[in-house]
Amino acid sequence: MTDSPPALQVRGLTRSYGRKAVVQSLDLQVEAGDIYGFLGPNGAGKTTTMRMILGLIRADAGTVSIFGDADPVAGRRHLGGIVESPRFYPYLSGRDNLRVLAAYGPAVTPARIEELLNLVQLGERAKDQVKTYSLGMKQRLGIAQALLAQPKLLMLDEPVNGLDPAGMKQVRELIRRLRDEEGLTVFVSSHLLHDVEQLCDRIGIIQDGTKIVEGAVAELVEDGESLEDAFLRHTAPGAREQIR
Amino acid sequence: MMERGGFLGMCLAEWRKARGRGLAWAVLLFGLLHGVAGAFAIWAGTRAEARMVAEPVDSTTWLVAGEMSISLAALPINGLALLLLFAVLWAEDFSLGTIAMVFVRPVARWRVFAAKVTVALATAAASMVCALVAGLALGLLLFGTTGDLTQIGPDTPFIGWMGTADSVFLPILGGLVTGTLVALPSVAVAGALAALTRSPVLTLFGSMMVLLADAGLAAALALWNQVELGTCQQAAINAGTVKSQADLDGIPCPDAALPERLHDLTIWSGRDFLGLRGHPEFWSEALQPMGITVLWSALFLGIALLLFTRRDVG
Repeated sequence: MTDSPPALQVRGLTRSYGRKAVVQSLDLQVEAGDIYGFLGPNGAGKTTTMRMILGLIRADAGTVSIFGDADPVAGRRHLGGIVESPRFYPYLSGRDNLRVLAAYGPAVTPARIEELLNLVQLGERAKDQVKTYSLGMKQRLGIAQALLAQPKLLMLDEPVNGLDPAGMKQVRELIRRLRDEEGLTVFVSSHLLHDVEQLCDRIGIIQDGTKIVEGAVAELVEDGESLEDAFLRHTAPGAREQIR
Repeated sequence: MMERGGFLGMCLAEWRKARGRGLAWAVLLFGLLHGVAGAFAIWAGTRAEARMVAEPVDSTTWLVAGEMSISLAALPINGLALLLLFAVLWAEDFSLGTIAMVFVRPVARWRVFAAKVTVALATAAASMVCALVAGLALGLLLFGTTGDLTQIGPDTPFIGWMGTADSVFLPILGGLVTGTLVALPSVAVAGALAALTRSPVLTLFGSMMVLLADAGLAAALALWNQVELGTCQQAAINAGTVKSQADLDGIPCPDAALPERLHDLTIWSGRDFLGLRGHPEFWSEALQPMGITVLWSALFLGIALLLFTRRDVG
Protein backbone atom coordinates (compact mmCIF):
# COMPACT_ATOMS: atom_id res chain seq x y z
CA MET A 1 0.00 0.00 0.00
CA THR A 2 1.27 3.47 -0.87
CA ASP A 3 0.97 6.70 1.14
CA SER A 4 0.64 8.93 -1.92
CA PRO A 5 -2.68 10.79 -2.04
CA PRO A 6 -5.32 9.78 -4.56
CA ALA A 7 -5.28 11.65 -7.85
CA LEU A 8 -8.81 12.83 -7.18
CA GLN A 9 -10.84 12.66 -4.03
CA VAL A 10 -14.36 14.05 -3.99
CA ARG A 11 -16.27 14.12 -0.72
CA GLY A 12 -19.89 15.11 -0.21
CA LEU A 13 -20.09 17.14 -3.42
CA THR A 14 -23.52 18.71 -3.73
CA ARG A 15 -25.11 21.11 -6.16
CA SER A 16 -28.70 22.18 -6.68
CA TYR A 17 -30.37 24.39 -9.28
CA GLY A 18 -33.33 25.90 -7.52
CA ARG A 19 -35.08 23.04 -5.76
CA LYS A 20 -33.63 20.41 -8.03
CA ALA A 21 -30.63 18.62 -6.56
CA VAL A 22 -28.39 17.79 -9.52
CA VAL A 23 -25.53 16.27 -7.54
CA GLN A 24 -26.08 14.97 -4.02
CA SER A 25 -23.36 14.14 -1.51
CA LEU A 26 -21.20 12.57 -4.17
CA ASP A 27 -18.03 10.71 -3.15
CA LEU A 28 -15.47 9.62 -5.74
CA GLN A 29 -11.92 8.43 -5.54
CA VAL A 30 -9.55 8.05 -8.46
CA GLU A 31 -6.13 6.51 -7.84
CA ALA A 32 -3.02 7.84 -9.53
CA GLY A 33 -2.30 6.11 -12.84
CA ASP A 34 -5.86 4.93 -13.41
CA ILE A 35 -8.06 5.55 -16.40
CA TYR A 36 -11.38 6.11 -14.65
CA GLY A 37 -14.64 5.94 -16.55
CA PHE A 38 -17.39 8.18 -15.24
CA LEU A 39 -20.75 6.91 -16.44
CA GLY A 40 -24.38 7.73 -16.05
CA PRO A 41 -27.54 8.26 -18.06
CA ASN A 42 -28.32 11.67 -19.56
CA GLY A 43 -29.08 14.18 -16.81
CA ALA A 44 -27.37 12.07 -14.15
CA GLY A 45 -25.10 14.97 -13.14
CA LYS A 46 -21.86 13.91 -14.83
CA THR A 47 -21.09 17.21 -16.52
CA THR A 48 -22.09 19.23 -13.44
CA THR A 49 -19.76 17.07 -11.35
CA MET A 50 -16.89 17.55 -13.79
CA ARG A 51 -17.48 21.30 -13.91
CA MET A 52 -17.34 21.47 -10.12
CA ILE A 53 -14.10 19.49 -10.07
CA LEU A 54 -12.63 21.81 -12.72
CA GLY A 55 -13.71 24.89 -10.77
CA LEU A 56 -16.11 26.19 -13.41
CA ILE A 57 -19.13 26.08 -11.15
CA ARG A 58 -19.39 26.32 -7.41
CA ALA A 59 -20.43 23.43 -5.23
CA ASP A 60 -23.08 24.07 -2.59
CA ALA A 61 -21.20 21.68 -0.33
CA GLY A 62 -18.35 19.20 -0.41
CA THR A 63 -14.64 19.15 -1.10
CA VAL A 64 -12.43 18.32 -4.05
CA SER A 65 -8.79 17.34 -3.52
CA ILE A 66 -6.45 16.88 -6.43
CA PHE A 67 -3.34 14.96 -5.47
CA GLY A 68 -4.05 15.99 -1.89
CA ASP A 69 -4.40 19.69 -2.73
CA ALA A 70 -7.80 21.04 -1.72
CA ASP A 71 -7.10 24.69 -2.64
CA PRO A 72 -9.07 25.37 -5.85
CA VAL A 73 -6.39 27.37 -7.68
CA ALA A 74 -3.44 25.34 -6.43
CA GLY A 75 -5.26 22.07 -7.16
CA ARG A 76 -5.73 23.10 -10.78
CA ARG A 77 -1.95 23.10 -11.21
CA HIS A 78 -2.22 19.31 -11.42
CA LEU A 79 -5.31 19.38 -13.59
CA GLY A 80 -6.16 19.71 -17.25
CA GLY A 81 -9.50 19.12 -18.82
CA ILE A 82 -12.19 19.57 -21.41
CA VAL A 83 -15.86 19.76 -20.57
CA GLU A 84 -18.37 18.81 -23.27
CA SER A 85 -16.37 20.07 -26.25
CA PRO A 86 -13.09 21.96 -26.54
CA ARG A 87 -13.44 25.65 -27.33
CA PHE A 88 -11.12 27.80 -29.41
CA TYR A 89 -10.59 31.22 -30.90
CA PRO A 90 -11.48 30.24 -34.48
CA TYR A 91 -9.63 33.18 -36.01
CA LEU A 92 -6.32 32.14 -34.41
CA SER A 93 -4.08 29.31 -35.53
CA GLY A 94 -3.83 26.08 -33.55
CA ARG A 95 -0.42 27.18 -32.30
CA ASP A 96 -1.68 30.63 -31.25
CA ASN A 97 -4.62 29.07 -29.44
CA LEU A 98 -2.15 27.10 -27.35
CA ARG A 99 0.03 30.19 -26.84
CA VAL A 100 -2.91 32.26 -25.63
CA LEU A 101 -4.08 29.60 -23.21
CA ALA A 102 -0.53 28.97 -22.00
CA ALA A 103 -0.34 32.57 -20.77
CA TYR A 104 -2.91 31.92 -18.05
CA GLY A 105 -0.88 30.13 -15.48
CA PRO A 106 2.68 29.01 -14.96
CA ALA A 107 5.00 29.65 -17.88
CA VAL A 108 5.00 27.10 -20.70
CA THR A 109 7.95 26.81 -23.08
CA PRO A 110 7.47 27.12 -26.85
CA ALA A 111 9.15 23.72 -27.04
CA ARG A 112 6.35 22.26 -24.94
CA ILE A 113 3.78 23.76 -27.31
CA GLU A 114 5.53 22.21 -30.32
CA GLU A 115 5.83 18.91 -28.46
CA LEU A 116 2.09 18.89 -27.82
CA LEU A 117 1.24 19.83 -31.38
CA ASN A 118 3.30 16.86 -32.54
CA LEU A 119 1.83 14.58 -29.88
CA VAL A 120 -1.68 15.23 -31.16
CA GLN A 121 -0.46 15.05 -34.76
CA LEU A 122 -1.21 18.67 -35.61
CA GLY A 123 2.37 19.84 -36.20
CA GLU A 124 1.83 20.30 -39.93
CA ARG A 125 -1.42 22.24 -39.52
CA ALA A 126 -0.32 24.30 -36.50
CA LYS A 127 -0.19 27.58 -38.38
CA ASP A 128 -3.65 27.21 -39.93
CA GLN A 129 -6.67 28.93 -38.42
CA VAL A 130 -8.68 26.60 -36.21
CA LYS A 131 -11.85 27.35 -38.18
CA THR A 132 -10.36 25.26 -40.99
CA TYR A 133 -9.87 22.19 -38.75
CA SER A 134 -12.00 19.06 -38.84
CA LEU A 135 -13.88 17.93 -35.74
CA GLY A 136 -11.26 15.28 -35.01
CA MET A 137 -8.46 17.83 -35.28
CA LYS A 138 -10.31 20.15 -32.91
CA GLN A 139 -10.78 17.33 -30.45
CA ARG A 140 -7.06 16.55 -30.56
CA LEU A 141 -6.17 20.22 -30.21
CA GLY A 142 -8.48 20.32 -27.19
CA ILE A 143 -6.50 17.50 -25.63
CA ALA A 144 -3.32 19.45 -26.33
CA GLN A 145 -4.89 22.45 -24.53
CA ALA A 146 -5.67 20.27 -21.56
CA LEU A 147 -2.10 18.96 -21.48
CA LEU A 148 -0.41 22.38 -21.66
CA ALA A 149 0.76 22.62 -18.10
CA GLN A 150 1.81 18.99 -17.89
CA PRO A 151 -1.08 18.01 -15.64
CA LYS A 152 -1.05 14.83 -13.60
CA LEU A 153 -4.82 14.42 -13.88
CA LEU A 154 -6.64 14.80 -17.20
CA MET A 155 -10.43 15.16 -17.24
CA LEU A 156 -12.19 14.52 -20.53
CA ASP A 157 -15.94 14.82 -21.04
CA GLU A 158 -17.13 12.81 -24.05
CA PRO A 159 -13.74 13.00 -25.78
CA VAL A 160 -14.79 10.99 -28.83
CA ASN A 161 -18.21 12.56 -29.25
CA GLY A 162 -19.02 13.14 -32.93
CA LEU A 163 -15.82 11.61 -34.23
CA ASP A 164 -15.66 9.09 -37.04
CA PRO A 165 -14.25 5.63 -36.23
CA ALA A 166 -10.73 6.63 -37.25
CA GLY A 167 -10.90 9.75 -35.08
CA MET A 168 -12.23 7.72 -32.15
CA LYS A 169 -9.36 5.27 -32.48
CA GLN A 170 -6.80 8.09 -32.58
CA VAL A 171 -8.18 9.69 -29.44
CA ARG A 172 -8.46 6.35 -27.63
CA GLU A 173 -4.86 5.51 -28.48
CA LEU A 174 -3.76 8.97 -27.41
CA ILE A 175 -5.43 8.58 -24.02
CA ARG A 176 -3.84 5.20 -23.50
CA ARG A 177 -0.44 6.52 -24.54
CA LEU A 178 -0.74 9.44 -22.12
CA ARG A 179 -1.35 7.07 -19.26
CA ASP A 180 1.23 4.47 -20.27
CA GLU A 181 4.04 6.77 -21.43
CA GLU A 182 3.49 9.97 -19.46
CA GLY A 183 1.97 8.44 -16.34
CA LEU A 184 -1.17 10.57 -16.43
CA THR A 185 -4.31 9.73 -14.52
CA VAL A 186 -7.31 10.09 -16.81
CA PHE A 187 -10.90 10.73 -15.76
CA VAL A 188 -13.16 10.19 -18.75
CA SER A 189 -16.88 10.53 -19.16
CA SER A 190 -18.52 8.81 -22.11
CA HIS A 191 -21.73 7.20 -23.30
CA LEU A 192 -19.77 4.86 -25.53
CA LEU A 193 -19.60 1.93 -23.16
CA HIS A 194 -17.67 -0.28 -25.54
CA ASP A 195 -14.90 2.38 -25.59
CA VAL A 196 -15.01 2.73 -21.82
CA GLU A 197 -14.75 -1.03 -21.39
CA GLN A 198 -11.68 -1.12 -23.65
CA LEU A 199 -10.04 1.91 -22.10
CA CYS A 200 -10.80 2.14 -18.39
CA ASP A 201 -9.42 0.37 -15.33
CA ARG A 202 -12.13 1.50 -12.96
CA ILE A 203 -15.54 3.03 -13.39
CA GLY A 204 -18.08 4.92 -11.33
CA ILE A 205 -21.74 5.13 -12.26
CA ILE A 206 -24.00 7.92 -11.07
CA GLN A 207 -27.72 8.36 -11.40
CA ASP A 208 -29.84 11.29 -10.24
CA GLY A 209 -26.72 12.90 -8.87
CA THR A 210 -25.84 10.00 -6.61
CA LYS A 211 -23.14 7.38 -7.03
CA ILE A 212 -24.70 3.98 -7.38
CA VAL A 213 -21.61 1.86 -7.95
CA GLU A 214 -17.85 2.22 -8.25
CA GLY A 215 -15.13 -0.36 -8.86
CA ALA A 216 -12.83 -2.12 -11.30
CA VAL A 217 -14.44 -2.97 -14.64
CA ALA A 218 -13.85 -6.68 -14.05
CA GLU A 219 -15.63 -6.49 -10.68
CA LEU A 220 -18.71 -4.76 -12.04
CA VAL A 221 -19.26 -6.98 -15.04
CA GLU A 222 -20.80 -10.36 -14.27
CA ASP A 223 -19.95 -13.53 -16.18
CA GLY A 224 -20.69 -13.23 -19.88
CA GLU A 225 -22.04 -9.72 -19.43
CA SER A 226 -20.92 -6.66 -21.38
CA LEU A 227 -20.36 -3.31 -19.68
CA GLU A 228 -23.51 -2.11 -21.43
CA ASP A 229 -25.50 -4.87 -19.76
CA ALA A 230 -23.95 -4.07 -16.40
CA PHE A 231 -24.70 -0.38 -16.87
CA LEU A 232 -28.36 -1.08 -17.66
CA ARG A 233 -28.60 -3.54 -14.74
CA HIS A 234 -27.56 -0.73 -12.40
CA THR A 235 -29.31 2.23 -13.96
CA ALA A 236 -32.45 0.92 -15.68
CA PRO A 237 -33.21 -2.69 -14.81
CA GLY A 238 -36.67 -2.46 -16.35
CA ALA A 239 -35.33 -1.19 -19.64
CA ARG A 240 -32.86 -4.04 -19.72
CA GLU A 241 -35.62 -6.61 -19.41
CA GLN A 242 -37.61 -4.88 -22.14
CA ILE A 243 -34.63 -5.00 -24.50
CA ARG A 244 -34.30 -8.71 -23.80
CA MET B 1 12.63 30.84 -24.11
CA MET B 2 9.43 30.65 -22.09
CA GLU B 3 6.00 31.79 -23.12
CA ARG B 4 5.46 34.58 -20.62
CA GLY B 5 3.55 33.55 -17.54
CA GLY B 6 2.28 36.02 -14.98
CA PHE B 7 0.27 39.17 -15.45
CA LEU B 8 2.23 40.52 -18.41
CA GLY B 9 1.79 37.21 -20.19
CA MET B 10 -1.97 37.37 -19.65
CA CYS B 11 -2.03 40.93 -21.02
CA LEU B 12 -0.09 39.78 -24.09
CA ALA B 13 -2.56 36.93 -24.55
CA GLU B 14 -5.49 39.36 -24.42
CA TRP B 15 -3.71 41.58 -26.93
CA ARG B 16 -3.03 38.57 -29.17
CA LYS B 17 -6.76 37.81 -29.17
CA ALA B 18 -7.73 41.42 -29.95
CA ARG B 19 -5.12 41.56 -32.69
CA GLY B 20 -6.14 38.19 -34.15
CA ARG B 21 -9.74 39.38 -34.26
CA GLY B 22 -8.60 42.41 -36.27
CA LEU B 23 -10.33 44.87 -33.95
CA ALA B 24 -7.22 46.17 -32.24
CA TRP B 25 -5.81 47.25 -35.59
CA ALA B 26 -9.12 48.88 -36.49
CA VAL B 27 -9.09 50.92 -33.28
CA LEU B 28 -5.50 52.04 -33.86
CA LEU B 29 -6.27 52.92 -37.46
CA PHE B 30 -9.29 54.86 -36.31
CA GLY B 31 -7.06 56.83 -33.93
CA LEU B 32 -4.68 57.53 -36.81
CA LEU B 33 -7.53 58.84 -38.95
CA HIS B 34 -8.53 61.20 -36.15
CA GLY B 35 -5.00 62.60 -36.24
CA VAL B 36 -5.20 63.18 -39.98
CA ALA B 37 -8.66 64.71 -39.67
CA GLY B 38 -7.48 66.95 -36.81
CA ALA B 39 -4.56 68.37 -38.77
CA PHE B 40 -6.63 68.95 -41.90
CA ALA B 41 -9.41 70.58 -39.88
CA ILE B 42 -6.93 73.14 -38.51
CA TRP B 43 -5.45 73.63 -41.97
CA ALA B 44 -8.88 74.19 -43.51
CA GLY B 45 -9.76 76.59 -40.67
CA THR B 46 -6.67 78.73 -41.16
CA ARG B 47 -7.21 78.84 -44.94
CA ALA B 48 -10.79 79.97 -44.49
CA GLU B 49 -9.77 82.56 -41.90
CA ALA B 50 -7.04 83.92 -44.18
CA ARG B 51 -9.61 84.54 -46.92
CA MET B 52 -12.07 86.28 -44.64
CA VAL B 53 -9.72 88.44 -42.58
CA ALA B 54 -7.91 91.28 -44.22
CA GLU B 55 -5.22 91.48 -41.55
CA PRO B 56 -2.65 88.68 -41.65
CA VAL B 57 -3.19 86.20 -38.80
CA ASP B 58 -0.49 84.69 -36.62
CA SER B 59 0.93 81.61 -38.19
CA THR B 60 -0.27 78.32 -36.71
CA THR B 61 2.18 75.88 -35.18
CA TRP B 62 2.21 72.10 -35.59
CA LEU B 63 1.29 71.58 -31.92
CA VAL B 64 -2.17 72.97 -32.59
CA ALA B 65 -2.76 70.03 -34.94
CA GLY B 66 -1.66 67.67 -32.17
CA GLU B 67 -4.14 69.23 -29.76
CA MET B 68 -6.93 69.01 -32.29
CA SER B 69 -6.12 65.35 -32.92
CA ILE B 70 -6.33 64.43 -29.25
CA SER B 71 -9.58 66.32 -28.88
CA LEU B 72 -11.05 64.54 -31.90
CA ALA B 73 -9.83 61.13 -30.74
CA ALA B 74 -11.61 61.67 -27.43
CA LEU B 75 -14.91 62.33 -29.17
CA PRO B 76 -17.71 59.77 -29.03
CA ILE B 77 -17.09 58.44 -32.54
CA ASN B 78 -13.75 56.98 -31.41
CA GLY B 79 -15.45 55.91 -28.18
CA LEU B 80 -17.80 53.79 -30.28
CA ALA B 81 -14.89 52.01 -31.93
CA LEU B 82 -13.40 51.38 -28.51
CA LEU B 83 -16.73 50.16 -27.22
CA LEU B 84 -16.87 47.64 -30.04
CA LEU B 85 -13.40 46.41 -29.10
CA PHE B 86 -14.26 46.18 -25.42
CA ALA B 87 -17.54 44.37 -26.11
CA VAL B 88 -15.82 41.74 -28.22
CA LEU B 89 -12.76 41.48 -25.97
CA TRP B 90 -14.94 40.94 -22.90
CA ALA B 91 -17.94 39.02 -24.13
CA GLU B 92 -16.54 36.81 -26.86
CA ASP B 93 -14.68 34.64 -24.37
CA PHE B 94 -18.08 33.76 -22.94
CA SER B 95 -19.92 33.37 -26.24
CA LEU B 96 -17.16 31.18 -27.72
CA GLY B 97 -16.91 29.22 -24.47
CA THR B 98 -13.14 29.77 -24.33
CA ILE B 99 -13.41 31.34 -20.89
CA ALA B 100 -14.03 27.83 -19.54
CA MET B 101 -10.63 26.76 -20.88
CA VAL B 102 -9.05 29.80 -19.24
CA PHE B 103 -10.77 29.25 -15.89
CA VAL B 104 -9.58 25.66 -15.78
CA ARG B 105 -6.01 26.96 -15.76
CA PRO B 106 -4.43 27.59 -12.35
CA VAL B 107 -5.01 31.32 -12.25
CA ALA B 108 -7.31 33.41 -10.09
CA ARG B 109 -10.23 34.85 -12.04
CA TRP B 110 -9.63 38.39 -10.80
CA ARG B 111 -6.22 38.35 -12.46
CA VAL B 112 -7.79 37.46 -15.82
CA PHE B 113 -10.25 40.30 -15.27
CA ALA B 114 -7.43 42.75 -14.47
CA ALA B 115 -5.58 41.74 -17.64
CA LYS B 116 -8.68 42.47 -19.73
CA VAL B 117 -9.11 45.93 -18.18
CA THR B 118 -5.42 46.70 -18.66
CA VAL B 119 -5.42 45.73 -22.33
CA ALA B 120 -8.64 47.66 -23.01
CA LEU B 121 -7.19 50.84 -21.49
CA ALA B 122 -3.81 50.30 -23.14
CA THR B 123 -5.53 50.01 -26.52
CA ALA B 124 -7.47 53.20 -25.83
CA ALA B 125 -4.19 54.93 -24.94
CA ALA B 126 -2.51 53.56 -28.06
CA SER B 127 -5.38 54.92 -30.15
CA MET B 128 -4.79 58.36 -28.59
CA VAL B 129 -1.07 58.11 -29.31
CA CYS B 130 -1.80 57.19 -32.94
CA ALA B 131 -4.02 60.25 -33.24
CA LEU B 132 -1.42 62.50 -31.66
CA VAL B 133 1.49 61.22 -33.73
CA ALA B 134 -0.50 61.48 -36.96
CA GLY B 135 -1.70 64.97 -36.03
CA LEU B 136 1.77 66.19 -35.14
CA ALA B 137 3.40 64.65 -38.20
CA LEU B 138 0.86 66.15 -40.56
CA GLY B 139 0.93 69.41 -38.58
CA LEU B 140 4.68 69.55 -39.08
CA LEU B 141 4.24 69.23 -42.84
CA LEU B 142 1.41 71.73 -43.03
CA PHE B 143 2.45 74.38 -40.50
CA GLY B 144 6.09 73.84 -39.48
CA THR B 145 7.49 74.32 -35.99
CA THR B 146 7.36 78.08 -35.73
CA GLY B 147 4.15 79.82 -34.91
CA ASP B 148 2.00 81.18 -32.19
CA LEU B 149 1.51 78.63 -29.42
CA THR B 150 -1.00 80.84 -27.66
CA GLN B 151 -3.40 80.08 -30.49
CA ILE B 152 -4.19 77.09 -28.33
CA GLY B 153 -6.46 79.13 -26.14
CA PRO B 154 -6.70 78.40 -22.42
CA ASP B 155 -10.27 77.19 -22.93
CA THR B 156 -9.24 74.54 -25.41
CA PRO B 157 -9.94 71.07 -23.99
CA PHE B 158 -7.24 68.62 -22.92
CA ILE B 159 -4.06 70.59 -23.45
CA GLY B 160 -5.36 74.09 -23.52
CA TRP B 161 -2.85 75.22 -20.95
CA MET B 162 0.01 74.40 -23.27
CA GLY B 163 0.42 78.06 -24.14
CA THR B 164 0.97 79.01 -20.51
CA ALA B 165 3.10 76.05 -19.46
CA ASP B 166 6.88 76.04 -19.36
CA SER B 167 7.11 72.93 -21.48
CA VAL B 168 4.79 71.33 -24.03
CA PHE B 169 5.67 67.84 -22.82
CA LEU B 170 3.51 67.90 -19.70
CA PRO B 171 0.36 69.19 -21.41
CA ILE B 172 0.70 66.58 -24.15
CA LEU B 173 1.20 63.80 -21.61
CA GLY B 174 -1.70 65.13 -19.55
CA GLY B 175 -3.87 65.23 -22.66
CA LEU B 176 -3.07 61.62 -23.48
CA VAL B 177 -3.69 60.41 -19.93
CA THR B 178 -6.93 62.29 -19.47
CA GLY B 179 -8.05 61.45 -23.01
CA THR B 180 -7.52 57.78 -22.15
CA LEU B 181 -9.31 58.17 -18.84
CA VAL B 182 -12.52 59.10 -20.60
CA ALA B 183 -12.55 55.55 -22.01
CA LEU B 184 -12.67 54.11 -18.49
CA PRO B 185 -16.45 54.45 -18.00
CA SER B 186 -17.12 52.62 -21.26
CA VAL B 187 -14.66 49.86 -20.34
CA ALA B 188 -16.47 49.48 -17.02
CA VAL B 189 -19.97 49.39 -18.53
CA ALA B 190 -18.92 47.00 -21.30
CA GLY B 191 -17.21 44.75 -18.73
CA ALA B 192 -20.28 44.59 -16.50
CA LEU B 193 -22.66 43.92 -19.38
CA ALA B 194 -20.34 41.33 -20.93
CA ALA B 195 -20.16 39.43 -17.66
CA LEU B 196 -23.93 39.71 -17.31
CA THR B 197 -25.14 38.98 -20.85
CA ARG B 198 -22.14 37.00 -22.16
CA SER B 199 -23.03 38.20 -25.66
CA PRO B 200 -20.92 40.65 -27.72
CA VAL B 201 -23.98 42.05 -29.48
CA LEU B 202 -25.96 42.58 -26.28
CA THR B 203 -22.85 44.03 -24.62
CA LEU B 204 -22.31 46.55 -27.40
CA PHE B 205 -25.90 47.71 -27.67
CA GLY B 206 -26.52 47.45 -23.93
CA SER B 207 -23.47 49.62 -23.23
CA MET B 208 -24.65 52.22 -25.72
CA MET B 209 -28.10 52.21 -24.13
CA VAL B 210 -26.70 52.60 -20.62
CA LEU B 211 -24.46 55.46 -21.67
CA LEU B 212 -27.20 57.14 -23.69
CA ALA B 213 -29.67 56.72 -20.84
CA ASP B 214 -27.18 58.35 -18.52
CA ALA B 215 -26.66 61.23 -20.91
CA GLY B 216 -30.44 61.55 -21.23
CA LEU B 217 -30.86 61.58 -17.46
CA ALA B 218 -28.21 64.27 -17.18
CA ALA B 219 -29.96 66.34 -19.84
CA ALA B 220 -33.32 65.89 -18.14
CA LEU B 221 -31.90 66.95 -14.80
CA ALA B 222 -30.25 69.95 -16.38
CA LEU B 223 -33.54 70.94 -17.98
CA TRP B 224 -35.42 70.34 -14.75
CA ASN B 225 -32.94 72.44 -12.86
CA GLN B 226 -33.22 75.21 -15.39
CA VAL B 227 -36.99 75.27 -15.26
CA GLU B 228 -37.57 74.54 -11.60
CA LEU B 229 -34.54 75.98 -9.93
CA GLY B 230 -34.12 79.27 -11.61
CA THR B 231 -31.79 80.48 -8.93
CA CYS B 232 -29.12 77.96 -9.78
CA GLN B 233 -26.04 79.64 -10.99
CA GLN B 234 -25.29 77.45 -13.98
CA ALA B 235 -28.92 77.23 -14.96
CA ALA B 236 -29.23 80.98 -14.69
CA ILE B 237 -26.21 81.45 -16.89
CA ASN B 238 -27.52 78.90 -19.36
CA ALA B 239 -30.90 80.60 -19.41
CA GLY B 240 -29.24 83.93 -20.00
CA THR B 241 -30.88 85.50 -16.94
CA VAL B 242 -27.52 86.60 -15.59
CA LYS B 243 -24.66 87.93 -17.58
CA SER B 244 -21.69 87.87 -15.28
CA GLN B 245 -20.27 86.00 -12.32
CA ALA B 246 -20.66 89.14 -10.21
CA ASP B 247 -24.45 88.94 -10.62
CA LEU B 248 -24.39 85.53 -9.00
CA ASP B 249 -22.64 86.43 -5.77
CA GLY B 250 -24.67 85.44 -2.76
CA ILE B 251 -27.21 83.39 -4.68
CA PRO B 252 -27.62 79.99 -2.96
CA CYS B 253 -27.40 77.14 -5.38
CA PRO B 254 -26.98 73.73 -3.73
CA ASP B 255 -27.97 71.73 -6.81
CA ALA B 256 -26.05 73.67 -9.36
CA ALA B 257 -23.39 71.03 -9.84
CA LEU B 258 -25.74 68.04 -9.95
CA PRO B 259 -26.50 67.95 -13.63
CA GLU B 260 -22.90 68.72 -14.44
CA ARG B 261 -21.72 65.89 -12.27
CA LEU B 262 -24.09 63.40 -13.81
CA HIS B 263 -23.34 64.81 -17.19
CA ASP B 264 -19.72 64.08 -16.54
CA LEU B 265 -20.44 60.41 -16.05
CA THR B 266 -21.20 59.60 -19.63
CA ILE B 267 -18.84 58.53 -22.32
CA TRP B 268 -20.39 61.08 -24.62
CA SER B 269 -20.40 64.09 -22.45
CA GLY B 270 -17.91 62.69 -19.98
CA ARG B 271 -15.35 64.08 -22.31
CA ASP B 272 -16.53 67.53 -21.32
CA PHE B 273 -15.09 67.06 -17.89
CA LEU B 274 -11.72 67.28 -19.45
CA GLY B 275 -12.55 70.68 -20.82
CA LEU B 276 -9.90 71.89 -18.49
CA ARG B 277 -9.32 75.55 -18.34
CA GLY B 278 -6.09 77.46 -17.95
CA HIS B 279 -3.08 76.19 -16.12
CA PRO B 280 -3.58 77.45 -12.54
CA GLU B 281 -7.04 75.90 -12.24
CA PHE B 282 -6.03 72.58 -13.72
CA TRP B 283 -6.12 70.42 -10.64
CA SER B 284 -8.94 72.19 -8.86
CA GLU B 285 -11.13 71.81 -11.94
CA ALA B 286 -10.00 68.30 -12.79
CA LEU B 287 -10.29 66.75 -9.37
CA GLN B 288 -14.06 66.65 -8.97
CA PRO B 289 -15.00 65.25 -12.37
CA MET B 290 -12.09 62.83 -12.29
CA GLY B 291 -13.25 61.62 -8.89
CA ILE B 292 -16.78 61.16 -10.16
CA THR B 293 -15.56 59.34 -13.24
CA VAL B 294 -13.49 57.02 -11.06
CA LEU B 295 -16.47 56.38 -8.78
CA TRP B 296 -18.72 55.65 -11.77
CA SER B 297 -16.13 53.34 -13.27
CA ALA B 298 -15.52 51.65 -9.91
CA LEU B 299 -19.23 50.92 -9.58
CA PHE B 300 -19.47 49.15 -12.93
CA LEU B 301 -16.06 47.52 -12.65
CA GLY B 302 -17.12 46.23 -9.23
CA ILE B 303 -20.25 44.68 -10.73
CA ALA B 304 -18.18 43.26 -13.59
CA LEU B 305 -15.59 41.80 -11.23
CA LEU B 306 -18.24 40.25 -9.01
CA LEU B 307 -19.99 38.59 -11.94
CA PHE B 308 -16.72 37.56 -13.56
CA THR B 309 -15.34 35.87 -10.48
CA ARG B 310 -18.49 34.47 -8.88
CA ARG B 311 -20.76 33.38 -11.72
CA ASP B 312 -20.76 29.79 -12.88
CA VAL B 313 -19.43 29.03 -16.32
CA GLY B 314 -21.73 26.68 -18.20
